[in-house]
Amino acid sequence: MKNSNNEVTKPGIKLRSLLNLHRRMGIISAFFVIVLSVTGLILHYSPNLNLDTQFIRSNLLLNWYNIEAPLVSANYAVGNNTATHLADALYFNERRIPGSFSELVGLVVTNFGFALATSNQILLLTAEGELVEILGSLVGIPSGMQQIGTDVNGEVYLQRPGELVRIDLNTLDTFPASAEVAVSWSNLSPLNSSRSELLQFDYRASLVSWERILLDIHSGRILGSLGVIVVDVMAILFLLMAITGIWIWSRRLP
Amino acid sequence: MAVLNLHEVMKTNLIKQSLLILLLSSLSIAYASDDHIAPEDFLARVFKGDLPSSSTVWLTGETKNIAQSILGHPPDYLRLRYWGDSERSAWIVDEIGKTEPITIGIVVTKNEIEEIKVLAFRESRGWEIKYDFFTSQFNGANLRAKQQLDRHIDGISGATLSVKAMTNVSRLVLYLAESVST
Repeated sequence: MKNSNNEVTKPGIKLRSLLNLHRRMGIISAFFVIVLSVTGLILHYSPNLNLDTQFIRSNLLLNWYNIEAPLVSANYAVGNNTATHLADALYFNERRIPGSFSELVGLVVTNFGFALATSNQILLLTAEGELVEILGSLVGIPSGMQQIGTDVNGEVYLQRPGELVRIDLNTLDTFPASAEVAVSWSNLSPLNSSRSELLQFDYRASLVSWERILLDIHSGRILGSLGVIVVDVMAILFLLMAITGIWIWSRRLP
Repeated sequence: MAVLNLHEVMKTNLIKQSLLILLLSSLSIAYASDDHIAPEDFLARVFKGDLPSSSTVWLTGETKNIAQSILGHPPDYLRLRYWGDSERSAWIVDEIGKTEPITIGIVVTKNEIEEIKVLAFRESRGWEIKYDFFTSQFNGANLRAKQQLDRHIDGISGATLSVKAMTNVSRLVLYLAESVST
């Protein structure tokens, strides 16, 4: 048999070289086939495995994602109890309160537990730190709060720009108060470094779910843009394997 | 030739109708995608501007246990607020869909859902639950045994967790509305 350059070639050579190429591509892509299949399968059952609600706590992985711990923006203390705000999270002692919150302005003791004020909400907590209710503008809580405090009788006061009001936390009625009232305001308090680190880590460890990690492994994004290119190259390799596989199979047909 | 013209006319009409449907669909999506309704506005509309005083229900003891079994997790709060009375009440509840809270407003009249509305949707997926084609399934729903709705709610592909959150909140509110009316 002669080719276009009149060189004599054996008829089986092309098929054999194609077979070798197919085999090499198979060996190269085997690892990726396994990784993509396994991650794909797990992702398929992600909601059942609760992977979307479980978050990574590994410092190594968090560092890999460049997730930095936000600084504590405010901390108030009453006895041994603390209310801490960092980023949009609010902690009572070490327990995170569900939701996103704006600036924390104080923490006071009440007859049922604690009242914690942000600039536009009041959070009521039991003495054990359980969240009773979050009160906002819907129930007449004024916005722009700057401070929360109590008088000697345990009445709760809120300081707004140019306005001092007393609030009854049972009826949620507010009353203008005289500036003469002696209010003990909740003041910022330093947070010890170990508690601060603990809360910072807790916040950091709430940002990347296992589902995110698996998605990033599956797409190659775990290795940045290079990983995406590698996965793209592998996808092309899979296509070539399919084409060469069909080609080889068709040539071997009797 | 006449047959050909008829085909042409039908084809043109079909294209026009398709374009009209597409335009109307995009307009409705644009209207519906206004995904934040202030709770104040919701209540003002429900009570026609005459907002009644609010009351609370405590989620403690047996009520807490039932709330936990309905939601599938312990409730995040010990007290839930509603506006209105035992006949007609409006409730605003936050419930996590996947990772973010969905704010849901529900109006209950005589232990049946009069209206359910997504007031704020913060998740990246599952936003289809805010459309009327989905929420209207709840209209008239009430509770039968074991705090289950009296009807099947058709899910939405890709919005499983949001659908579940909304269904659970509707069950919880119906249960609590029943408890305050008895």
